[in-house]
Amino acid sequence: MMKPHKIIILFIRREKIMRSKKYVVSVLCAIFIFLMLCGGCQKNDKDDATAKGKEITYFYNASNEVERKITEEAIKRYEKKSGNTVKTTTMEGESYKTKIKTSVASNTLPDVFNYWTGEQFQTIVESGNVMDLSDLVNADTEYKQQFIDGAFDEVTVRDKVYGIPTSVTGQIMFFNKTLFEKAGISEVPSTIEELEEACDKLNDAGITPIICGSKDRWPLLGWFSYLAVRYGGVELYTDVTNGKSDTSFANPEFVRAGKKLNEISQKYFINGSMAIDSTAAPAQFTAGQAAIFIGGTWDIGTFASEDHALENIEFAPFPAAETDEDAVYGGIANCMAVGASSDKKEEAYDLIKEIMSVETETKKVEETGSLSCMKVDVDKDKMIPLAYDLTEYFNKRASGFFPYTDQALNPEQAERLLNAMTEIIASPDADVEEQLQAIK
Amino acid sequence: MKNVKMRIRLFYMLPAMAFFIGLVIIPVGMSLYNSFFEWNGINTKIFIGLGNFKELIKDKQISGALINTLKLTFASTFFQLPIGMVIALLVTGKKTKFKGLFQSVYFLPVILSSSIVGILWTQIYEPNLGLVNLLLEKLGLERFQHAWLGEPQTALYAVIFVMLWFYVGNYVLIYYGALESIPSDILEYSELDGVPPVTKFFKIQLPLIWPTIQLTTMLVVVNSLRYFDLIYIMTKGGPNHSTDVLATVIVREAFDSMRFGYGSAISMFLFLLGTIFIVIINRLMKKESVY
Repeated sequence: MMKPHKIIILFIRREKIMRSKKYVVSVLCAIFIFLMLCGGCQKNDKDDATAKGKEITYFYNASNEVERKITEEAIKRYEKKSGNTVKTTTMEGESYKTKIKTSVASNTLPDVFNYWTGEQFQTIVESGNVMDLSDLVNADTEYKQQFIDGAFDEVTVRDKVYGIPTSVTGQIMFFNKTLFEKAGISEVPSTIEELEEACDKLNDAGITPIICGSKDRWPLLGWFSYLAVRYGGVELYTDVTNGKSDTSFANPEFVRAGKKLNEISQKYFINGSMAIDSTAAPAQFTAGQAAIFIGGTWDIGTFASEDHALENIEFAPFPAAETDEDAVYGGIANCMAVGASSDKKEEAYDLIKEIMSVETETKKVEETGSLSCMKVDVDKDKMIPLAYDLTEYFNKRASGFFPYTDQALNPEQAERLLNAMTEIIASPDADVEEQLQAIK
Repeated sequence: MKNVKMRIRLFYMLPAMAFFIGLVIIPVGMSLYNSFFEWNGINTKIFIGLGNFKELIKDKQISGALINTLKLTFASTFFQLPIGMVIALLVTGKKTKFKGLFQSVYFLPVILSSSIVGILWTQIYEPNLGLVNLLLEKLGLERFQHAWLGEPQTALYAVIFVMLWFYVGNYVLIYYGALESIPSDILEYSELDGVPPVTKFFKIQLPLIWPTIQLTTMLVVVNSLRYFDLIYIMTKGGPNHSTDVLATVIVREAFDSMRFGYGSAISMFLFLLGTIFIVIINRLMKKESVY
């Protein structure tokens, strides 16, 4: 038995240790709680400066980093001028479409948002969720005149203006000329037969002919729709996508396009294209993984991001079939709109005017190579040469545009169309006609 | 224990009940209501009675998704639980060195966010640049190379594998806790009696932690039936619906095709399926706890 005072000392020591442990634990807990609270109420430095301004919510999807940077600069200019703050949310294309559709269903559209034009946009307009901007736009003739002719056609539904058009985009065939030279291809293919011959040469030289981001499905439309228009013409395409009553996707020219797509995908697409999405595809093309890529004007920013890649990349119109149809897949395909439940119509309109201003658009055209639907005066030397050439081609030599297929159909049909695309490239003996029949 | 009045008991339960009713019961009820309508989220709802359910039964993408969901559930149950148990046993042994390290290592994947895991593994599975195919090439096994997430035949199993890796740590942790809670004298007696380890496991440890086994089985089944995250991130249900599960079909029908009535009907079907499974599991695993 230990001496009493030793027991007491041990007891006290134990108590001290226990107490110090509890002390440490309670201090840690306090720190944690403090950090959580701090993290929860993160103050925006903007809030202090413009505490009396209104907050405008803005959703958009920037196709590349450069475009996003330019948009952010425009937003900052607006914030300075107006004293309001803008809260932005951005995300990638397909998820963005889902987000907007969800917001429409739950009536939580933001003050300002970007979207594509076409029947999908019309569906959203007809839901009553988009603010009618006719009074503001029609009174603002000075602003309207800065746009090219016909720019407002796509955003006008039943004579009312529901949005401001943004960019003119288009998809075209990009190719890597260094890889072409390696395979011994001396001339850029101008017909579909020549394209197939070129792809055979690429295969023989051990180079992957075509890359396509099939995982996201819509890149396949870059092939299908072009083939369909080359075989059937723009009028037929417009009739089918506009829903004329006695037309369907299973007409002979479209079936021929589908079968050709099936062949091309089996013989020339990169291995495992169904696992490659629409952001990985241009990146891999830039890195020289394949020779041919049907890309968009929005991809030029990606091409420019890697040093020296632009030197190897050139564009050509999609090869022709028997006719000399050379319309470009694209057009005025995007717009900015205001949510109907917004109480800041004036402020939203001003924000749109700042983002869609000659100043911003000039910068965008110069730095990302996109095409603008505003009349901009671009300094050729500031532009990426590829972008400048493409702009010249669109403005001067192409006969016109035909609209993006998945936006021209209503949401349900668009889903079926995209579905059909993956089914068509899935296996050598896919039933193209059956797939296309199911769309409408 | 003092007899606490019913009123007071209910009063203390009130906050949790309010959350549960508000965030679970009411939305499920609304979903059930919506499933009898044709509604695109925008225009007025059109009452069509059992129309959505009739379409559901005939819909081929649903029967395909159902099969995938069941495959996923079975794979999860019969791989995650046994593997989790084996790892837990290895980690609980008194003689195991670095016990803490092993516990952390196996549990680590669970802490990662499913978005990161999904993107990470998508890169690993990339057909031309990813680690898996690169490794196979270095080993000279090129003929086994596949576009893992791009081919309908391999996609589902590729995703299931990632799921197993991701969630097995959960069950390791639960089983570890359960095994540790067995009184150590029982195990010591069995060792003294010379009981071989396998028998020790099946006849002594397993019956003693049976309630935990019941719990984990129910957890794994219910979580697998409604699983969504990794599949949506890695393949979105493709290619060609080969990795579609009921949850991805619901999201696609409701939000992409804008058919909220039909999406709600499929959700109700999933709800019913889950309920049936739970009842079956309860019946099958009914056993008096051994104490």
